[in-house]
This record gives sequence, structure tokens and C-alpha cells, in this order.
Amino acid sequence: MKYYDILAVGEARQTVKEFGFSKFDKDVVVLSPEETDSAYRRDELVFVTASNSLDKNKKIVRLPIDGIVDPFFPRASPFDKAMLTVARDNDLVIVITLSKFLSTRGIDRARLIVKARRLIALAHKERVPIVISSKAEHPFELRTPFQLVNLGIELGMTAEKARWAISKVPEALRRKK
Amino acid sequence: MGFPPVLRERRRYIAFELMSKARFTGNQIVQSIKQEVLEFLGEVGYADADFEIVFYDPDSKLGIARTTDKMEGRVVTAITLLPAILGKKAGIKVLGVSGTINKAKTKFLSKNLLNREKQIIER
Repeated sequence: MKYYDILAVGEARQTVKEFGFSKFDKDVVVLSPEETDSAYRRDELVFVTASNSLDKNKKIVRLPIDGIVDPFFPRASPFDKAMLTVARDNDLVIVITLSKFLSTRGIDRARLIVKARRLIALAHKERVPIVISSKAEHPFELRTPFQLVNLGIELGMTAEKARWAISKVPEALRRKK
Repeated sequence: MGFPPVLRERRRYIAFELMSKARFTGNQIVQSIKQEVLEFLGEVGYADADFEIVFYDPDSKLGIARTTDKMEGRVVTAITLLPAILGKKAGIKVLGVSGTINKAKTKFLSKNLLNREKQIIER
């Protein structure tokens, strides 16, 4: 099991003063499907990675989860309109992480940006909420909310939606619990 | 004859802080950041951005970069996506963006320097 806080280091003097993930009182956990049940019962926010969110027939697993992390990864992502509709019906959020972009370079990163842009456009159409997070496994991978908002804008979100992606959407998730 | 004001591009100054345990020289940092921005924006984008590191202080790890108002967001994203410098893990924290260099210094850098002094005194 892998634990980490999904953080966007919030400082009062930042332009984006929203609470974001920085005031989360719970750890956000990424789990394999077998472990989600118990974590969900413990009242934790449960996210699964894209490969874990699909079963053998490429259908979204029927497990109590709150969101799917980086559904455009790996390369041949089966996430399409129908899948996003299912995600919307199950109140799932799509989490786009900065760490994926940090770990790639050159053409791979360019492909990742294209996929992320397509996914965001589709999620916008299907009204699936999007969360942007650092998913930092190391302190040096953390970035400020301002930087995450800029990444969102670069990926095709409006400034308002990018701000929501680090503030309102995660806060709504927390309230849901 | 100067450049007519109407044709001048509006500048933006990005105050940043380097996060790294390793110690680098100013030149190494400047070259790494420039290379990252060049890779992300491409040559034409880099020219549009008119990117330049105005100054960088290796002791405080604080610096200011200059770009144009139109490319500000892209440059911030490019800086954000810097994962390492000379193979050692590092990151750049953007402290803020300002329209004048003086404002960038007083608003973002002086506060950070004061905080750092406080931390050193507390230790």
C-alpha cells in the first residue's frame, strides 16, 4: 500500500488562496482494487490508478472508489465517452497528476499533454469533475497552487475551472465523506 | 531613437525559489532552467517568451526570471515541469509574478529572505 498526502503547498500570500489539498485532514490513498473496500469503510478518500480501475472486460470496476488517477496513462487508454459517462453516474472524479508530467520528457511528455487535453475536453463535455494534484512522492515534486493552476490552463482548462480543480472539487469530495 | 512604446512588449517578472539539497552554481541553474524552457516552448516559443533569468542568488536559492505577459502562463508551466538539475532531484517553486522587477523583489523575495533569517535564528 502506498500512502501520501496530495498537496498543493498553500501559502497565504499566494494569488490562489483557496484551501486546496493543503488543508486536507485525511490522507488521500491510492490502492489496488482488493484494498479499496476496507479503506472506503475507514472513511478515507479512495483513488485507483487507471489500470486498476478497469476489469478484464475493460469495464470500470464496481468498487467503492472516489476517483481515478491519470486515466490517459498508460499509452493505450481505453477511456472514452462511455466510460466518462459511467464515471459521472458514479460520482467519480478524474485526477490529473503533475508527477506523471515530471517523470516524462520530450516526445513522451508531448503525447501525454495531447492525451490530457483530449481527456479534459471530453470530461468537460460529459461534466465529470477534474482534480489537479501534485501526487508528490518527494518534497521537491511539490509545487504551489499557482503552478498547478497554470498547468491546468495549459492543458485546456479555463482559469476558473483550473482553480476549482485544486480547491472546490477536492473540498466537495471531502464534504461528501 | 528608442523603440516606440506602443510596440514594446509588456514584461512579467517571475520570482522563484529553487528546491534542492545539492549545491549548484548560478550558471548551472540558469542554463538548466533555460534549457527546460527551450525544450517545453520550442525555439519559436522561446523567442516569443523573450525569456531571461534576471538574477539568481545561489546562497538564498532565490531568483527572478523575465518574460512577456502573453507567454507568462506557458513559462510558469515550463518552469514547473523541471524535475532535476544535472541529474539531481530538484524543483522550482514559483513565488509569484509581477509587472515590475522592484515589486517582484519587495513582494516575493524580501519576505522569503526574512522568513529564512527567522528560521535560522529559531534554530
